[in-house]
Amino acid sequence: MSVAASRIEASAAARGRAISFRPLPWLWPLFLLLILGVLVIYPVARLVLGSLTDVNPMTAREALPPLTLEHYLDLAVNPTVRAATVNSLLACSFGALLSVVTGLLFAWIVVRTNTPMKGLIRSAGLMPLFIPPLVAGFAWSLLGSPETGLINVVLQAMGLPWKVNFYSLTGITVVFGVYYAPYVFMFTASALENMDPSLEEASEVSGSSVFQTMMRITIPLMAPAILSGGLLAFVIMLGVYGTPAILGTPANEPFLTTYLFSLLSWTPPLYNKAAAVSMLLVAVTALGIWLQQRALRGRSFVTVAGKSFRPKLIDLGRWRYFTLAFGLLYLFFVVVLPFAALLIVAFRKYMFVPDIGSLFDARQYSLGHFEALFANPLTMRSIWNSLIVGGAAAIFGGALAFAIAYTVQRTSVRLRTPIDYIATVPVAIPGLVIGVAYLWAWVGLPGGLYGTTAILAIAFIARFLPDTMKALSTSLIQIHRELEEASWICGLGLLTTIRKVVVPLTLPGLISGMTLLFVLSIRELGSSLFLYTSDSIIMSVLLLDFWEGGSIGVSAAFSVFQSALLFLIIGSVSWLTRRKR
Amino acid sequence: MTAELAVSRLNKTFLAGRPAIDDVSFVATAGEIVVLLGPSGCGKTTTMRSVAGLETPTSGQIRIGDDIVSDPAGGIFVRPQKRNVGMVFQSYAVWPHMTVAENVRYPLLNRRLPRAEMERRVAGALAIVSLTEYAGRSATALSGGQMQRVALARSLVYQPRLLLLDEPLSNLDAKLRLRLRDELRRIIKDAGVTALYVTHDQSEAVAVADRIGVMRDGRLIQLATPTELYTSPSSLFVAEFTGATNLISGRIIASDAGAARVAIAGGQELASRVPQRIAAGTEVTVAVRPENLRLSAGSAETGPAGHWNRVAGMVREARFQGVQTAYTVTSGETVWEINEYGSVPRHAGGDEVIVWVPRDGCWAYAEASTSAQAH
Amino acid sequence: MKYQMLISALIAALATSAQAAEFKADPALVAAASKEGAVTIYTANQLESEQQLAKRFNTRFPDVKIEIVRAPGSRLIARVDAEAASGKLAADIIEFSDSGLAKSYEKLLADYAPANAGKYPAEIRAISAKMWPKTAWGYVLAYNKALVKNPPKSWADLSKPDFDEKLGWIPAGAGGTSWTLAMFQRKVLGESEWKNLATKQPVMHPSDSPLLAAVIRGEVRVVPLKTNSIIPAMKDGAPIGIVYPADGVPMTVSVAGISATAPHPNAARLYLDWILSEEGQETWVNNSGGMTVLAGGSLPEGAEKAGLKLWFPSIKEYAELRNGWVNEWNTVFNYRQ
Repeated sequence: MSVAASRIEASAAARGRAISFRPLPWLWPLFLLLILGVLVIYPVARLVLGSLTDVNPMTAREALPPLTLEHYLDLAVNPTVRAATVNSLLACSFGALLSVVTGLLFAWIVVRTNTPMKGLIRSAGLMPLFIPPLVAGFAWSLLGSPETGLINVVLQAMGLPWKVNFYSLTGITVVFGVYYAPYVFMFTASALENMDPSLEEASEVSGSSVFQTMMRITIPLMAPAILSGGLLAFVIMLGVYGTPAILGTPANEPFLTTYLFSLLSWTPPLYNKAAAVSMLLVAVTALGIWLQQRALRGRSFVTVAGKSFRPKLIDLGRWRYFTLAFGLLYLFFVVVLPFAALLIVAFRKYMFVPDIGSLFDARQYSLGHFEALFANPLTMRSIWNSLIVGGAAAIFGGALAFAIAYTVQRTSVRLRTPIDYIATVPVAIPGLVIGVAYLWAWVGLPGGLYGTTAILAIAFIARFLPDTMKALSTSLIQIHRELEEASWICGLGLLTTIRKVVVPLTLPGLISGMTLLFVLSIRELGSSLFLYTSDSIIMSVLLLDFWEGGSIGVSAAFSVFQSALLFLIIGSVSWLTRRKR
Repeated sequence: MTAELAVSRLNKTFLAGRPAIDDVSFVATAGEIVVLLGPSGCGKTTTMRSVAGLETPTSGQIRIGDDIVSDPAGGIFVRPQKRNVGMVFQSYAVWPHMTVAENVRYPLLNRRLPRAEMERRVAGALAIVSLTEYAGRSATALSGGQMQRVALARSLVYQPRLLLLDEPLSNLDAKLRLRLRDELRRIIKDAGVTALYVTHDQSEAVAVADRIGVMRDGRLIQLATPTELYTSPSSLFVAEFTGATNLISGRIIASDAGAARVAIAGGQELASRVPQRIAAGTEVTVAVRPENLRLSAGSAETGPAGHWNRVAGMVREARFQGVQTAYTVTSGETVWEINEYGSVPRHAGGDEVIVWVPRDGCWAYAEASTSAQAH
Repeated sequence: MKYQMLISALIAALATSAQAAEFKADPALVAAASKEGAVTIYTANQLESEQQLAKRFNTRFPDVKIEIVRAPGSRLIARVDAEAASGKLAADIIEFSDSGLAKSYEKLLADYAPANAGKYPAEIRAISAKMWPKTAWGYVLAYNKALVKNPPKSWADLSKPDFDEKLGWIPAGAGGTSWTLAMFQRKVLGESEWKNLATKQPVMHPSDSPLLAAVIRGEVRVVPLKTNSIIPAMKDGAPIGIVYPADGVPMTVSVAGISATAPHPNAARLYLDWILSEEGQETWVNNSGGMTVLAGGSLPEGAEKAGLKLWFPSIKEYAELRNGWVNEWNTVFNYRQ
């Protein structure tokens, strides 16, 4: 054997079991960094610069205008910002807590127990994801406003002295909590599905009840999944505008995002201050991520044995009707009620409901809003555009997220950690602000990309990179490394191994990741507001146009249509993938 | 206080098809170690999990001590928490988020003992498995053998009346396995607890068991002491599974209730034992353990004392295996495998030798083996 | 102020309003526009209102497609800023809802004047020679017909005890039109007007849409809204009524111009010509319930010609007073946003 060959062999052995690209150790990560640079680093950098200067980045004459900290100082002394920060943190922390409890409970019920009608609970439990926050806020204002909320109308009719008021911090927290439970559910359900059941069986045999086993063994072992899901829910809630706007304004409760919105609505818009507020949100998120890392460091949560097994179902006996009732109650609260509200608005000529009798008066209902919706020439165009942009974002975004997740998880190339952090950053920045950042960063892109559906797809890919990556990382972790190594030993290269071994094994996770990306893209508003044109208009923007134009019935009809469409698409995808397995 | 385990007419079917457990009955007396031995898929693990309460049988009764814990016909099913059995899992199921001591203490948390008593028992259990110094260590910082001991300590700390062990040694390397199986038996006997042990390795079964139950396709084929199993296997499967690798086809010349004369290839004749009388002319397979055969130089006339068949042959291959040498000897069309203990081989390839085949070590069965040599 | 004179001039003009004349276009312009085939307008007008204008336009000129990009004032400006800075301004027509800010964008626009330029008030033309008042909005009162038996007749009426805790309102800082409303209250109705209103503890809603929803549902009884929000809902049968307050209707005017780098200059001319014509302004008023500053223009439904006081803010004051007064408004109403 030649000297060179033996030297390469020796160094490969020294590097251990991870894959290394001997001839190109720098090319691939640099390529990924380039993509991330365009998608993430450049827009965010402009945002950071904007927060430190006093001029509109687009019209500034100097390349580097004089830096100033005045915006940050302003934020520190501004009492509204303080109140808004307190409100945002309270609502999002408790909301995240509620999400974790709800999502975890559901994951446990669906994956681990013999509760009847699990399939319904599982798929319906994801439906809150379909509803954009603005629509959710509106639906809950319809249901829970103190004077004429539909819930109050019904309660009055039943003669009960109770009243609900969703125009409150509590109301917003509850809406946050139940709407983001699906995120936690997704993370924890997959962790549960892959846990070695003998860990729980050992606890049962040694005398612990089902409940004690869940509290002492199952949940502690799922700590990473719980923390990841909860953190993601928290960060996303921080950036939501629609719900606090509709439910918080009547209660005079400011939130960081509504404050942000008011900054941007000023004439001229106060970009720099808005950028500073966004940096505040990024800081809070970074703190959350750091806390999560600290909590999980040094403890092992390896639960995947590397062999396949059927997760054993716990027989709850009579308790399973209790869990079924809980599941149905959740569905009623989170899916049925708001959809009912939307349906009522969509089909009712106008929303004046003086008493319960009027609610059921058939003469008050018609198809008028749907007719108006589809008579609008932009409607069909927006549907088509949304499907295309959503599909492109799902496919290319999914592929990119997979490439990054694989590189970070499974290889030993340089720069993995920076790549991981950079790809996670977008999650902290609210859609409103990232939309402006994208505009500034990409309006000058050569090649006429600006103003097309392609740029919308790019915006969504960048926006949801962290979400998709997290989802994919979880599936990748589950694949035992030896399954890949066996492929290399047989002589197949890295790409073939990925294509023939890794992808088929992660396919369920990959498909659900792409489906998530599709759903998020369809309903995403903030990042597309500045980039769309009449030709590339998408459903979420059109919905907002209807809403801001006062056509509430048409907005509701559109929401109903969008939800039905999403439900259909997601349903077909999961039906198809179930058959494959 | 340890208890007797009585399993009667146990059945378990998962889906349409062959039942996983097919009419299995046995009794393990108090303090006895019974090993269920068989190839994968034979139903041994399902049987044990049914005793634990982790599987629900379709029919049949399981009684631990005076308590009937499972009887579908009578509507009885006691949940695993209430059966007071200990179980060591194949993957040990040691909880990674706790220390060794916390793992062992866990079963006592529910049993409402005073703090001092709990600690005493934990210390005692750790001492039994020789892990006292590891008490404060995280469960993930342990080797496989240590994890297995933690699992054992955990299952004994609450003094169950029955101990179940599901292939506890199969994840360990060979040397560790050899060392630990004796220790395992010692620990179980010291604790005086009735044990049901599952494995696919016959030498492990022999080292650990008081009695061994050989299972195949859901049925219990033979339940006997290790000696009995080896010296009087009741069927060809048992003989083969426990290591009788010489399987020679033949035909009965004459037989009575205990012994027979069998005609084999090349006009040779073997005196052999039979489990019951077999009609003359019946095709049989004769099973012989390689370690029961003796070799001597080709000119020897007298063999060892007792009934021995004398077969002349030539050494085709001699394989040195450290503590023993394995010989392949051809005699006419018949090929014999012989293991001779001792680290110095006494014969070499090409030698003319006599194979002494003991009548009491030959068992003829009226079954065909798939790996038998041609008649 | 110059605008008080404007009010009287308009009232005079309205007293002699004649039927709208049909729009006549130069055939050469029509041909050139049809060849270009499309026009892109950036506007803060409601989408469906603009679509109604476009629809009517297309019945006359079917070969010119109208592409609408709609965003509220500040978002629109962000886009215009960014696109102009990169040389990628895609708009043919740009409409500025904030006339105070509009002037600074003059350099982006081409020279333009419609045929009936003379019929537009001189003060508005003074904003810029290149920009013209395409749409006007007026704030009036809406009330829930089923729940309110004695509707208010003026802004001052709102201080009656009937309306304690029954009002909905929009924050002054929500946008240009709501700022105009707040400015009107303080300047015309008096310094203490805000305080009086604040004691009624009105419920705040972030924009017109939820405010409209709230009054239709009866969650609140009376709200301020623009005429083009109320009238379409009334036409749909919603149980709300409209009141043109006797003490004045604060008006916002948005001005539009043609981009200097417009890809479709002729089509832009044609569309803007049409909108600014009597025919176009009639469509805006009659179909969408809007208001117009065109001399001789009609009034939206329910408005009585006599006694209607339209109030226009001074452009200088609109810009100068805004920051300070909005902050004060927030303090008075204890509004933290």
